[in-house]
Amino acid sequence: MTALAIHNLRKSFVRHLNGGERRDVLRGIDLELEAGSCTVLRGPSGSGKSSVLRCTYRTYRADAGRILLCAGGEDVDMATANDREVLRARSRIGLATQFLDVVPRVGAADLVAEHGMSREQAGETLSALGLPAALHDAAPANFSGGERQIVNLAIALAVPRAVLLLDEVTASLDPVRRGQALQAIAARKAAGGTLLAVFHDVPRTPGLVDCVLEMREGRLVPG
Amino acid sequence: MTALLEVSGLTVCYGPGCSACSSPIAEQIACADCGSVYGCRDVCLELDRGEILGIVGESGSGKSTVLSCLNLDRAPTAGRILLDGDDVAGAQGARRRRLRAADLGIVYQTPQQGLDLALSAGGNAAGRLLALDWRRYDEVRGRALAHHESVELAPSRIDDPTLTFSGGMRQRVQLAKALISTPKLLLLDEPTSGLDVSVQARILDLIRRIRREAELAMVIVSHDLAVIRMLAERVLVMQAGRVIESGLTDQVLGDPQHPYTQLLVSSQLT
Repeated sequence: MTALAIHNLRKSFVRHLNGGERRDVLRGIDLELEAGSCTVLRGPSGSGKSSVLRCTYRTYRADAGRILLCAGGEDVDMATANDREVLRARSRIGLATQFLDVVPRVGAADLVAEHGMSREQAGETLSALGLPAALHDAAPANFSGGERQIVNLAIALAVPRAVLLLDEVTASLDPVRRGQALQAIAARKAAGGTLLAVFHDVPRTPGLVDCVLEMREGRLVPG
Repeated sequence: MTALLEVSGLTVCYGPGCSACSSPIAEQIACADCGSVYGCRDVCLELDRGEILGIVGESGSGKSTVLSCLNLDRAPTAGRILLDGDDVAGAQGARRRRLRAADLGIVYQTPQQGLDLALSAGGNAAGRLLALDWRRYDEVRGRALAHHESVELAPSRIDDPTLTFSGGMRQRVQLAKALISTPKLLLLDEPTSGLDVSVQARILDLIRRIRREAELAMVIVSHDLAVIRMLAERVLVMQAGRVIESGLTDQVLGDPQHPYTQLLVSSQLT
């Protein structure tokens, strides 16, 4: 069963502050993800990997093409859906980046709990990802990059969304915590989640990655 | 279900207006032909219950004019403001007073706009209940005290003149006053501008808590994109009285289309 189908996705940026310079970042992406699968995008910086994820989540507005979110409910074209339809669809699809939007004064566990789990569950998730219990009540504003990334990933995993978009979510983690994070991601996949992830180093976690696609200059190229 | 708030064609024009400046494509705030000045032009927005809409833009872009129309501080020259299906744009007299006391709450950037600083904190908040015909002292007092505490103000300060309060505390008194009558719509006009960052963080935290607990609809005007990013799901960008871009907050700030929005986003301190 198809969870996410992307057809002829195109995206460009027009930089009005640079004299209207136009930069094509996606030049026709076709991609189909089976439910419960994990597809990894890799390629050089600037090749368009993150733009695929952001268009799919609608943080970027696609210029052309279709992005059909099929898993978890009725089909929604994330490229053309209106704002409210997108907000509703986001209960079925999550995006985790390597950066955390810090909220002042809110502790890590409370921040995770706000996204749909109890505080106890939030604490367990953070512990499983390697964040020391002593930091659960602390606000992430003073956390290291890796600790923030753990909080970010915990937020992404707080609610079991049908499709999860992961953008370099382990980039700042040490090898031990990276392993813990990948185990948690693999568990989400084993529970039926569909994953589309950007990794520079493709994980070797058993049973995690089904397919690796290479990107160059806004196109998928044979690996 | 109808939206809580539907605004269409909202226009505020100071002056007679003429065929040149009332054209849908007129761009200047001031009309060279008739001298009219536009506070806002043809603004449309929609808000559901429990939703937060942000409005950003440079000084003089019309953000606060829109908010003052929504709060019935001023009647628009043209346009409709449907609150729960009723057009309230031209409300006057007792109807206007009741709408403002019961259904609308506002926090102004400058507390003296929203508060009588000579009055006590509790007295400011209680005034809204008196406007709604609450007459039993113990009930009014009890509710004022509950809201005073809910915005994290010390109960011992409830009878102190608001004049003796700090800027952050005055904003809290404004919030207590706005929320005491359980309004349908909370309007926030630069609620954290001019406050130091630690006080700003506490006010933002408070607004987030109010939203979680009350599922209140809010319109928040701010020039601080970080505040809008944190609080609002959708955002309008205004320039020269018009809405020039709108959409999901993360999309408008992450993939701005209009030249002015690109300038705004690129000017943000990170």
